[in-house]
Amino acid sequence: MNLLYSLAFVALAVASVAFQAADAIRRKQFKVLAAQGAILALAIVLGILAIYNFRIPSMAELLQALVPWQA
Amino acid sequence: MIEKGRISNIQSAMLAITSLTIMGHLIVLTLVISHSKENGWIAAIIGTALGLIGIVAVTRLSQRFPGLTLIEILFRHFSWPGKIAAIVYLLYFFILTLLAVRLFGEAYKSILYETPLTAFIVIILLVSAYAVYLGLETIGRMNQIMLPILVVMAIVVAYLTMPNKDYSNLLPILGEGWMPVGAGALSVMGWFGEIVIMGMLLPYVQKPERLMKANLWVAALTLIFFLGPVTGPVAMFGATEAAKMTFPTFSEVRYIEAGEVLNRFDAIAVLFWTVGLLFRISIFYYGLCLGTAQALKLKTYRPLVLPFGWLIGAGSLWFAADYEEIQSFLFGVYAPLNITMGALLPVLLLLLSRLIQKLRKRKEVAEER
Repeated sequence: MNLLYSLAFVALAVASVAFQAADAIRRKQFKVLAAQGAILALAIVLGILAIYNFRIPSMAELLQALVPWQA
Repeated sequence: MIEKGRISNIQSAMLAITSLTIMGHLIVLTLVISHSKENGWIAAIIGTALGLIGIVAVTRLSQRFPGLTLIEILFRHFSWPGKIAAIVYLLYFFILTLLAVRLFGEAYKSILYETPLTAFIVIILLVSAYAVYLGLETIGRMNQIMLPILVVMAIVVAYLTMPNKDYSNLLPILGEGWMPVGAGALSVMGWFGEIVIMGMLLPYVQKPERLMKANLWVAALTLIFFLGPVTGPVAMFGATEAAKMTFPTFSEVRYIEAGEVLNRFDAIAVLFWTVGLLFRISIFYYGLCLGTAQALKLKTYRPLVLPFGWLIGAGSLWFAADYEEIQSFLFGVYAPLNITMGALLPVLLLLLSRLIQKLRKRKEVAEER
């Protein structure tokens, strides 16, 4: 089931950006395309991690570790 | 200039008020009551006075570099350290967007237990993404319509809770000394630090020369809107009970009984959260998209709205494992993070910009000789 969710997540994410990405290619705005690709790739990684419930340190934990007076 | 829209000074002030007030009601309230108990209102007043440091610094910075957003100022005028600071600011906007989205989900989850968190996150992100895509003018005008309605509703709710309140619960004043009040005041100061997001909107106001007056009004009105919620739950439940509550104002509103028919005012609190958080998320989401587009020197921020929407959605799930973790983040990180980003850095940038200007003038004079 998780695999199905992950595939649906990736398909939806890519499909939602596809029109704008195609437009960026048509106008030869490759910087826009690269930015979209990078942000979306990161979103997909985080999404799949969330779907599979992988235990990685959350952002709240990471930020707490940065504050010097926290244990 | 990427953003073509313009907002009035009043619209900009109203956006700041909505964004700050909703965060105040949802989380800052809990922080202040936990730290300062019955003296929360003193902490709020002192914290607002301290928060003016950040507000004045951000406004002055914006007036010093007219037409430039915070990210553009950092990229164009502060060399490579500025670029690093700009990236840190973008990360900060991202973190605060995640926090707001997650809080929206958690707030709704506390009422609709069986609905998955993802459903709430998707709904708020769809609306926010649409608002951000339409631009600053749309967000500003939408908020101009909604804020007065919310204020009227809040006044009605505050009036209806009066019979259940016992204001002697706010005594003794400074019973435990200044330390708890100081801790609460720092939380409030941190909360006002969030106004640094206005650095992304202020270049688009119609009368930048009157920004300082508008932003000082923002501080005053936000404080007024915060004093009711910070005293209300303490007056109704007592300081110890109020400090234990996740959403004290929501618990307060549930006690309203106006006759036999009007006794479920929870919906008003939920409406307040929904609309308030919608604007808050939209402002930070907009700042993130616009800032990234400006950092990458793109012609428009719109192609980034949907990718960032996905990233914010996935990121808000990763933000914290549960509400406990969010609370430890709020108690441990929220205030220092906001004070650093919203007060210390803007003050430092303002001082540095003055120093750079003086050095340049001296150099010019020396060259002329």
